[in-house]
Amino acid sequence: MIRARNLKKVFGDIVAVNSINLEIKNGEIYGFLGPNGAGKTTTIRMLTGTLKPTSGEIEILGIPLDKNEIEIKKRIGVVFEEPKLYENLKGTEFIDFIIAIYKLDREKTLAYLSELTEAFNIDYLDGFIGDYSHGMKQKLALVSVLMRKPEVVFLDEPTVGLDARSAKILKMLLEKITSEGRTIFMTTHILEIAEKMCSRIGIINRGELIAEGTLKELRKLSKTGSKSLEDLFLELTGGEEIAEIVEAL
Amino acid sequence: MSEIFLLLKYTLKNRGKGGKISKILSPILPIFFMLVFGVPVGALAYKILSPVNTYIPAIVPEGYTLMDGIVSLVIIILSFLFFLGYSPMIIFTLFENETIPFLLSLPVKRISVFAVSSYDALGTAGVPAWYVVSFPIIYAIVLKISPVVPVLSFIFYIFLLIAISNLFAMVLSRFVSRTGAKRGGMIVYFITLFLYMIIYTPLSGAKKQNIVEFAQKLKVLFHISLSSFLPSTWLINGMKGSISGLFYLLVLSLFLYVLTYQLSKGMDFYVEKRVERKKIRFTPFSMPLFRKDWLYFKREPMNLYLVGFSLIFPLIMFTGSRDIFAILFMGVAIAGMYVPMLTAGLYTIERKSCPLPLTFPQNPSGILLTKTILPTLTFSLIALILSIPAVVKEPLTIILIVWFPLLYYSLSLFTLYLFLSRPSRDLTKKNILDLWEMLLMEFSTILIASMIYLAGGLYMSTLRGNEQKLLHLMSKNPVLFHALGIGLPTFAIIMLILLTGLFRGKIKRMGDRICG
Repeated sequence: MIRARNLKKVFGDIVAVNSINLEIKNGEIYGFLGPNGAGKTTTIRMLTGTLKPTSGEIEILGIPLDKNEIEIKKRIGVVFEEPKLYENLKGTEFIDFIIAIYKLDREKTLAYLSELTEAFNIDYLDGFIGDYSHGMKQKLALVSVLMRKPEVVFLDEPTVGLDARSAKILKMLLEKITSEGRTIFMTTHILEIAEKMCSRIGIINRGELIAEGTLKELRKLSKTGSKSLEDLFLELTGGEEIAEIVEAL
Repeated sequence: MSEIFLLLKYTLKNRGKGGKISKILSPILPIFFMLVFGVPVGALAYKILSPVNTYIPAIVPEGYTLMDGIVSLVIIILSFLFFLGYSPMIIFTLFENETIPFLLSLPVKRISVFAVSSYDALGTAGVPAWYVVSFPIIYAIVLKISPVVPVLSFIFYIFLLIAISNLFAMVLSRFVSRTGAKRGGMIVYFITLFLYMIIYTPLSGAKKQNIVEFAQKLKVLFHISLSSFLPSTWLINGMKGSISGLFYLLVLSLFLYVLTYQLSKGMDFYVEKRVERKKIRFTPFSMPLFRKDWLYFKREPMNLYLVGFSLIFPLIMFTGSRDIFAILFMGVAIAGMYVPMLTAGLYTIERKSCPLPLTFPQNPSGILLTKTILPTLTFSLIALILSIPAVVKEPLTIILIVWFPLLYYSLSLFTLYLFLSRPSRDLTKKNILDLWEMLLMEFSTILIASMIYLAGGLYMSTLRGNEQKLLHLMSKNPVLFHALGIGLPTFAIIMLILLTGLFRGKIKRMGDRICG
């Protein structure tokens, strides 16, 4: 479970995230949408303890983040949009490092990893991470998190850099994860993914959570009767004048 | 050409995030290094070569002197080192430069992108050329001719080497991975520096007779190295004022540049995807944070150099020296420079992976403090090795030597503290630490090391009856003698303990800044 109250982050004069409240239950796939620079990544970083909030409270799995950050980090997993990994290590060494630092059951983890690497077509773990392409690093980052079977998974644009097959497998795997009662918090620009997969959706714009609910609930907020998530998203984030802009170009 | 200058201007601008002083200094740095290496080597080379500008039939081919023979060998060796170091660096720079995909999307020729990368790599890989930069001037002085043709010949020879290296890089890029290219380049670069040290140290004491005797053994090599088909021989001819030598160098350089241009059209810039696919093997990681640092330490060629240099340099410089405390002091001073460099390297790999380290179930300050273990252990071990003669001579020196780990530990902590105090520094620069930061740390190390090892060492030595010049006068004033001999090391050790505690405490509080 993820809970955030009055979460705020200020960088100098810029309010990146302004007093947002979130409550995500176990077994949910929560889609966190917003235009570029809306505050999605900043929110994920605060929820995962990788960025200190200016104010507000965060609870993950019922534990206050500021009280027991280490315990929470053991039980959650996070994959960032930009897969920055240790380039001097080989893929196998990175996996070994993760197993050791999270103190995981080696045999069970490696057995599950073997299934994951086969599914995601990862056969390059013996090479140095520095020699991997963006997509290869993204897949390694993903499997290194999924192999731990974390109770809450945070994914920041998880399908960026993935080939069609891997993206499809990931989507199916995420559904399986939530069916086991685990929670997923995901940002994406691909509204089709959010529409199909997410049980609830939150839309953030300029640091404010402007809408939240199931797709059905969000549709009710539309003043123009938008049916698709794309139209609804553009209406709520001020993108309805797109046709006029394109016409003028 | 204007396209290359435009790309170069913005590539360098993009990287130049340093302060005003570093921006002013960076364009003149290559000239500075050329002078630092070129002038002393030139003076030494002149001293050695000018007396041997004589034709000795049994040793060198007709038309050449012993000086030509020696110079040709030096030039051939350094040329090999130049292109062996430069070519992998070009490939590595191509891979390291994240703007390459963007540059390729621009309406610019591929050769322009390649040329920018090639220029960028020249900085470190051009070291061998610095050593021989004085040769055309030496020839002009010795032969009493105008320096125009010798200097032009040398410039065209360098162009030729660059052209050969570029071609070699293009071929190599089809087989080598980014990691392999980086390692290859760095290793050759460090071998060059070591060779310089090893070659010139014994040569500096050489006399004419020794050189002729030495040359006798190399006569077969001289006949090969002065073959008229070799570009190095054309350079020798050019430096002797021959227009034909200059002409051959010019024609071959132009031909190779045209060839490079043609080949660049079909060049693949995305070879980093070529990753070997072998059977995978997992090995358990104990002490994961330390093990990760150890793997970096083992794999980064720069670290090999740091360790090798800090161990070998004091030994070479003081071969035959009776002043064992000076060797020890030199070792400590060098390590004082390299402990921060190693700590900086270890910290940088963490920063480059951010925010990944913050996701681990670890206290960030714990991750940071691990970065001090390897530099402290490595350089303490080196210092211990260097101090063996001192301990043999003065067993009591052990009382001073036990403080090495504390000195290096505090230095490593100080480096981390500097990083955390200004986390927004540019990590893409080769020297992550600023010049003033390096000087501050070097000064602190030398100051503390002087108080502990020089004052303490000399004090013990004087007590045992071995007269030392520095403390000799003071020994006439017993109070001052004991106060300095005991007081200075004690004061320095207390300061070290206090500073260590202070920096450790600050790092623990600033751990959250690990990612800037």
